[in-house]
Amino acid sequence: MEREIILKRILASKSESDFLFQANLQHKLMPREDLSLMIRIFLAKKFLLERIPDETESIYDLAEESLSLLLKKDVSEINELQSGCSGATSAMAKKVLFLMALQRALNIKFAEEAVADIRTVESMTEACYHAILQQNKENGGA
Amino acid sequence: MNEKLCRMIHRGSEIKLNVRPIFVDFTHDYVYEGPCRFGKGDSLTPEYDKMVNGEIYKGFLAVTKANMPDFVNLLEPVRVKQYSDDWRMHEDDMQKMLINHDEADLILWTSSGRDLQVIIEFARRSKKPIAFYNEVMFALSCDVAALRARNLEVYPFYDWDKSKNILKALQVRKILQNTRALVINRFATDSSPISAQDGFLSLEKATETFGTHFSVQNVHEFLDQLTNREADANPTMPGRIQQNINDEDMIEINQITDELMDGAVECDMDREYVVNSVKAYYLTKKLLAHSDCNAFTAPCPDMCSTRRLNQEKCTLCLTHSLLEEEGIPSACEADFSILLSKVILQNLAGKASYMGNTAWLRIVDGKLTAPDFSAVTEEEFEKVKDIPNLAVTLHSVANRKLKGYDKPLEEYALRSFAFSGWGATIRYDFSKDMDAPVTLLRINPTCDKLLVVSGKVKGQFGYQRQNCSTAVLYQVKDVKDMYEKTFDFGSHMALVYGDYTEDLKLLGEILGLEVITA
Repeated sequence: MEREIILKRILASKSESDFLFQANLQHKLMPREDLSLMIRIFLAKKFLLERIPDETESIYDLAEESLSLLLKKDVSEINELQSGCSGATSAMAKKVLFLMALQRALNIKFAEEAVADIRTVESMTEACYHAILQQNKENGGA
Repeated sequence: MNEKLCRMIHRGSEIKLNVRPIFVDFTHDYVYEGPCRFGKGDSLTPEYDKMVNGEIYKGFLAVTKANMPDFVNLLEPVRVKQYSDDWRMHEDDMQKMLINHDEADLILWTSSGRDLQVIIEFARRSKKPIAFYNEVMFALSCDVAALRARNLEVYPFYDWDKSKNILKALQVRKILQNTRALVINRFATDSSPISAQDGFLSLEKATETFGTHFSVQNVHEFLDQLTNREADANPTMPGRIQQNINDEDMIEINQITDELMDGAVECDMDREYVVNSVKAYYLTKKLLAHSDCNAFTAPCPDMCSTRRLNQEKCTLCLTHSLLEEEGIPSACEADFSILLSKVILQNLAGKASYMGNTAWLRIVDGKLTAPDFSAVTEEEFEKVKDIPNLAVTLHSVANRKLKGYDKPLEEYALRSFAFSGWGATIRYDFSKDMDAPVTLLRINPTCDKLLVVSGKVKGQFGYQRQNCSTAVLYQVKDVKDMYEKTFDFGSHMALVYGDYTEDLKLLGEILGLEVITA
C-alpha cells in the first residue's frame, strides 16, 4: 500500500513539474538564478525530496537520498541495489535518467562526453544554461 | 658521493610498473527487454547506455588514480566504444588497444558489459598480464576463470589493499628482470668451486627464471684497478684503458673515509686501512656504472686464496654494506641465490638487507653447543640462553639502513675483519631491536623454490669483535624444522626487518615458485 502511495506521488509530481516548465518556457531566456530555481524544484519533485536542494550539493548524494526515500532503505545500502551487470551504481543510473528527463523538459541536448562531468546541481545548471543559450543562438533568438 | 657516478647506476628500485587502463564501452543498439536486458523507459535506450558508460568510465579512472601506489606509472588510458549487442569484435578497436602495448607491464581492464570475448582476444595478442577491475563482483569470477583456464596471466582487483600487494609483486618481478649483476669471478664456472657452492647450479637457469643478467669480470683485473696508476698500465690488460682509482677519486675516497670514521660510535681501525676498504667500494661503484650494472657479488674465499686481498689490505665487506645502503643489492661469496633474494627483499620492503650463514643456535643444559661461538661473551649469552627456538644468522656486512632507505642512518661501530687490523666492517648491535619482526629468504639451487623464514629479534653476538662475527639472533616458530628446511636450500639467508611472509607467498605464486615457510 505504501508503494502505491509513493507511485501516485511520483505521477502527481511529474504533472506538476511539467506544468512549471511549460509556464516558464514562455520566456526564451530566463535569468540564470530563475533557471537554477526551476531545475532545483524539478529535481526535488523527481527525486521526492522534501526540500529544494542547493547548488553545492552532489547529484549522486541526492540520487542516493532519493533512492533511500523511495525504497525505505539506509543510504549506505544503495550501491548494492543496482539492477544491471554494467558496473553502474544505482545513483549513476538515477542521475542519468534525471538528465534525460531534464533534456526533454528544456528541449536541450547535453554533449555525451559532458554528462559524466556534471556532478553538482551547480554544474548541471551551468550545462543547461549554456545549452539553452546555444540553442537560442542557433534559433536566432535573444 | 660523486653525483654523476650515482646517477649512472640505474637502481632496480627506480623502476616503476607501467599500468595501462583499458575501458570497453558496451551499448545496446535497440530498445528491448529480455532475460539479459533489464529496465524500462529511458533506461532501455542507446542514449542511456552511452551516458551511463561515461559515468562508469569516469568512476573507473577516478578510483584507479586514487588507489595506484607511487611505484606505478599510470599510462594514458584507452577507451573503445564500438562494442555492442550485435557481438561483433571491431578490429580497429583492437588495434587501438594494442597501440604501444609494449610500454605496459600490466593492463587494468574494465567494461560496462559482456566483453569477455574481446578480453580473451586481446590477452592472446598482447601477451600482457591483465588485472580485472569491476564493481560487479561476480563478473570478476567469470572473467578471471575464463582467462586462467586458457593459461593467460590474470589478476582480480576486488580489494585495493590486496591489489596493491599484487602490483608490488609485479614490480619486484620487473626489477628482477632488469637486474644486471656485476660478478667478480676467478674460475670459469657458473658457481665458484670454493665460495657458495649451494648457490645456483646454472646462471642460465637463473636468467631463464628471473630474467636477471650476469656480467662477469675477472678477479685479477678487478684487483689491478685498485692501484692508482695509468689506466692502461695494468699487468692483466696491458695497453687497454680501465677504471683504475685515480687522484680525483682519492679526494672523494678520503671524504668518505672521514665521514665513516667520524660517524662511528666506536672506531678501532687505523685510517689507512679504512681508506683501503673505501677504495674497493669506490672501484666497485665505477665498475657498476661502467658496466651498466645495478647489483654486485664477488667470491671472497676465491679472492682470499690469491693472497692479493692480504697484499691490498682490504676485504669487500664494507663494499657490500655501503652498496646495500644505496639500494644496490650486494652479496658475499658469489652467492647468486642470496643476491637475488636481496633484490627481492629490498624492493618489497624498501629497506637494506643483511645476510649470513644461518643455523639453529643449539643450547643444551644452558650451554651453547653449536655453532661454536667460543668468543661469545657471558653478557651476550646470558640474555638469550633461556629463549627457545633461537636461530642465528651471521656475517660481517651489517649496514645503517636496515630500518628503511627513508630512515636516518643507524648507529654503528667500525672494526676490522682481519685480526691484523685491515678490512673495515660496519658493526651493528641487533639487540637494541628486541622483538622486531624479521623475514629471511633464500632461493634453492635449482631456481624453483623459495624458503621464507619469519622470526623476532632476540639478541646479538659479535658487536664488539672483529672478523665474520656480527650475529643476529631471532626466535622462530620451530627452529629444528627451520634448520631441516635449509638443507634443501643452503646456508646463507638474506634478512630484512618486518614481516613479508604473505608478500613473498604472493611473489612465489607470480614467479611460479613453490614457497616453503618456517
